[in-house]
Amino acid sequence: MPEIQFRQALRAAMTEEMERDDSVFLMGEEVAQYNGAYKVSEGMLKRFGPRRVIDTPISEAGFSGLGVGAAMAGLRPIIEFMSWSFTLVCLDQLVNNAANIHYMSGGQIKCPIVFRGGNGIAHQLAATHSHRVESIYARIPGLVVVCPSTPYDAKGLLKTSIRSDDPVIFLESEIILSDRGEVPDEEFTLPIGKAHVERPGAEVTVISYGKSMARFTRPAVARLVEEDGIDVELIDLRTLRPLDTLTLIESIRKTNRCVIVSEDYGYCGMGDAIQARLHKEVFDDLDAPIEVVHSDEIPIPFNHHLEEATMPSVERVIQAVKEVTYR
Amino acid sequence: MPVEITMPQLSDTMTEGTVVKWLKKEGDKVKGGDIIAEVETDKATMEMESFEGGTLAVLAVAEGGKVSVGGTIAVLATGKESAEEVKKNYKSTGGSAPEPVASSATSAKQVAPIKKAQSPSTSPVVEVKSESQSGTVAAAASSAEHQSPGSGSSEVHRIKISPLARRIARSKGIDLARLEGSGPGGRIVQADVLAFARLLPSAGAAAPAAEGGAPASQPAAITAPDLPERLASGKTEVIELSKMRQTIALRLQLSKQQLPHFYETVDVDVQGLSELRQTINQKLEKQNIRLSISDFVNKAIAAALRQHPAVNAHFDSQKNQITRFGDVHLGIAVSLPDGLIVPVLRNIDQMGLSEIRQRSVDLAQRARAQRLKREELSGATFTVSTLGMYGIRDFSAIINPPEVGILAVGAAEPRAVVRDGQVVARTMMSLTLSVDHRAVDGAGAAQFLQTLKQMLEEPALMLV
Amino acid sequence: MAVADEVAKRPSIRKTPRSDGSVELGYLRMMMLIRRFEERTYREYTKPGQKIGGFCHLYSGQEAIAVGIAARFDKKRDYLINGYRCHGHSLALGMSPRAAMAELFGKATGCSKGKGGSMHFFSAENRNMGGHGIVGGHIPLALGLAFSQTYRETGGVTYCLFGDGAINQGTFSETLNLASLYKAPCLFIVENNGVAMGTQVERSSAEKDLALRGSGFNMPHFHVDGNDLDQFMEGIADAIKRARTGGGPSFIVANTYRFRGHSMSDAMKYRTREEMEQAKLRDPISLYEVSLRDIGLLTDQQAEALEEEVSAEVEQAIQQADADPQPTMESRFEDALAETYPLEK
Repeated sequence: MPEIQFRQALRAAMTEEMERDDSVFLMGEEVAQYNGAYKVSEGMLKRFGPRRVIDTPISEAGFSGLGVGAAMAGLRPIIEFMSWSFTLVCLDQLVNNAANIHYMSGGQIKCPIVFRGGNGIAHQLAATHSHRVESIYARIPGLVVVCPSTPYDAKGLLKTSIRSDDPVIFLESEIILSDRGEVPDEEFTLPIGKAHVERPGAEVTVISYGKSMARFTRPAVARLVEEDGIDVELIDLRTLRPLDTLTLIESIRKTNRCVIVSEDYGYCGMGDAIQARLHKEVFDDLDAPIEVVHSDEIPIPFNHHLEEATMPSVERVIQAVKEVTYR
Repeated sequence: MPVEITMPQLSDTMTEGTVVKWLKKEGDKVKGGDIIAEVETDKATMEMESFEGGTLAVLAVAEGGKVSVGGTIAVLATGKESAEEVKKNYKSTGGSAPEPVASSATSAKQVAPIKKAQSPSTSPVVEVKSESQSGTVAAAASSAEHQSPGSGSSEVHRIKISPLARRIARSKGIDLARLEGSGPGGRIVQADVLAFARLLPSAGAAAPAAEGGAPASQPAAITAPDLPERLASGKTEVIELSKMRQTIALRLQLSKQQLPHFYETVDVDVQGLSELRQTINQKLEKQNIRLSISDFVNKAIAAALRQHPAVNAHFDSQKNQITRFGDVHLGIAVSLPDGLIVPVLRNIDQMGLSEIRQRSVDLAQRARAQRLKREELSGATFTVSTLGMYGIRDFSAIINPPEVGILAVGAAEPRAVVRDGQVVARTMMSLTLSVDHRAVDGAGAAQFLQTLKQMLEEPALMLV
Repeated sequence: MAVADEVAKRPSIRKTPRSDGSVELGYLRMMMLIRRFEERTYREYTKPGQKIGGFCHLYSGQEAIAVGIAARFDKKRDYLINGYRCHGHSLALGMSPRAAMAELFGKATGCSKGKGGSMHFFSAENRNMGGHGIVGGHIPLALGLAFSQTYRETGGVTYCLFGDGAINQGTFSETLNLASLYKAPCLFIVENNGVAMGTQVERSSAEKDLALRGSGFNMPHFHVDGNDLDQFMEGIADAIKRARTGGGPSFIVANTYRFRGHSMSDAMKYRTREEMEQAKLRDPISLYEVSLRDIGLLTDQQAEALEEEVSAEVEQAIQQADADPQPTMESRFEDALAETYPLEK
């Protein structure tokens, strides 16, 4: 299997779907002539022309709403945000319009749209550009929230997202766009709403997603298994809403211990929300409280060292796993 | 037909309205859509229109009067009837008229004070008194509720245990009070319960018997109850012997085959010791040390062995030698998930109680974590095995050669005993000594037990 | 007759009937139906017992705009999208009074299955893409609908309606700029009734001439009479043609007057009685009735008959809606998502 970058996997998914279905188009700031702020859409203007790869002015509310309207009319827009932090100026379009149209119209009007872009803490962009929006969107009924951690997952999940008749919040990360991984050339898709048990284990369930999975959790688990001999079951959520609670519950009932790793804040954050979902179901199976590894509860600082210290880390994950396994 | 104009609902929250001003008077002709009055709601003063045309026959409420939503404010004569006629009829039916008329101006005025009656100012005595009384009763009840469990069982401190450990303990019928927690803050975790469960003799057979014992004595039911069918849910497991299991099998079989065991049991009154333990523990609370009965027993064993070196010995059949030791190195049996291990408290005879406590907890924890050093597992001169925490009254242990004795310690429990010709309840404990007859005879063993009993019943003797 | 004076003032559009009058009488009937529906809604809302809950914004006085758009609406390819004052347009585009009233009652037979209410009437069948509750929130959606018409080269037009309050939202400026850049076939129509809830245009817009708020986007921007059906239809004709032929969007201020409060609990203290009396002289229904009489398309008897017809139709709708079933408790979980998950496609 060829090894490609995360951004190439995203591009491959969009390209394949646009070739497959004329109703799919890509729109966003700098996606066309500039070839993408992060080069995800590089070459797509040349391939598909200005009808289907469309630059926008800096008007997030305007063009995200445009996408919703086009989706209501039956097109399948892919709206790229340069950063999910910028969607704070167009929340109404996503939360009120995209999420509610199908319900409020009594099921008459669908909204098949994908909003995608970089989420979370990149590198030294400071507080305004470092928001982790997953808990903002994953709490909204009517939205689907997907967050891949590998090139393979990115391609398979983005293809399914484009084909879904629901509005999908697709969360990427600038930090892992250059990550490489094996992705088959042939057609494949991955299911939305299904978590992936990446490593089966017996002693502790470790749950993560997206960049937190790629940068903190996966390396930490590798060390825990090799150096400490802890038999970790590692689960990549892939989809944050709808949450695959069944897989998580089944795992924790087996391992009796659980750590959730998320770059989001703790209070009202993604990790706490998942934990709350699980606690009642697995209460009698727990040998230790569920541990959530999250970012410190402060605006994200600019200084490199302060920023590093604010985020979860391999060490924090290892410490949390040892805590719940009483090592 | 006359038409009643009723108080409209002008907002979600509106329950009544006030007619602020009449813009028409009785006898005026009105068209549909004409404004007839101004009505004040909870939100604003609004104009009120007549939906129908006709002649205003009755203004049922004076300006300033309140009318609840749906109540009549005016009556309109429409069609052929005359306004005077309508007004006359309206007045004659007055109070006893069907529901809409009941909310006319007069009744509306009555409504208002009734509502106010709920506030203390209108009927202060009754309302306030009953409120304060019920308040006091409630407070007393709740404080009693809070006190009763607290005062009744003030000595029972809350057991910290993980939900999983609690569930396993419950399923195995293990008393939580007998468990010791190795987790943070003394939390009992899965590993602790499993370790104790492994020590339970034929735990598998005992637990179901305890749980399912009752139905046998029940009279047979007349009709077969509709019970769910039992499906086989357990699966049979074949387990390869671990190294540890093989060692246990080999050594204990050898011991039981080659050593001529005999057994002596003594019952010890440990009531005083229990009380002493509590007193000491209160003093030690600040140091975060909690002595167990076992710590006292171990201390007493060490002291008694010093007085009876015949039991504190090794037997060597090759050399035809017995070695009696001047120091006491006490082996303490610790259960593990897959067997047991006997770490050694070296020179226990030179230790105080708190040191014994700290060292034995440390050894037990490291034993369970399989982090004992080789020298910590050898060189015992005598061994003690305790199953009291499982409620075992007494049992006989197998000697660990070349040692010549092992003491089996049962539970400290209240029993009926005879004191001065009276049956009284005392906290008692049974100790059973297994002895290798090649090294020690019955009387020698008995003397050791006697000393041990004295020391436990009068702990001060340990100091001698 | 004062209304006749008002009619006489207007520019001459036509003096002789173009048809047998059935089309014109249809327009009149629809305006009457909307008015009757709204006035009965007012009564149902204010009746004790709370059959209609929540916010409710009535359209009385602005009927010419909805009916004028519906008259020009191509049911195969056009779209209409609206703010929260959406009863009138929905009826004009063909929604049955029963589906509309049932929605107000929250019934299962309502146009949005009782999940939208007064502010959220939808009819995919009529290409009515909704009433939308957040002021200005739907303006970008109109652009998306228009974008799809360009993308698919349908020649369709999107009518985007909003009030004078919405032009002060950021989405208005963002959307007009984008629409002009992309040459979206969209008519942005402000129904200027002069008050954003209780704030007069003079207090909410720095530029008093609202049409000028559409300048700076390189698109036509102009006023039309929103009370005179003939003038309104005439006034938007060029903009429609321009949109259908790839010329892009227009910004139109349709000046009108709201006879009712902003919503049900509005006492309208911001208006004087004189102002309201004056406005009633330009009631769109009266104006149109008089102009039809002038060219011999309408008799008094016909007008009365139409009144009775629409009155009966609305009464029947209320009775049906009243008898219609409440949505089932389980139905509240339906339609949150279009797909079932896990989704493998």
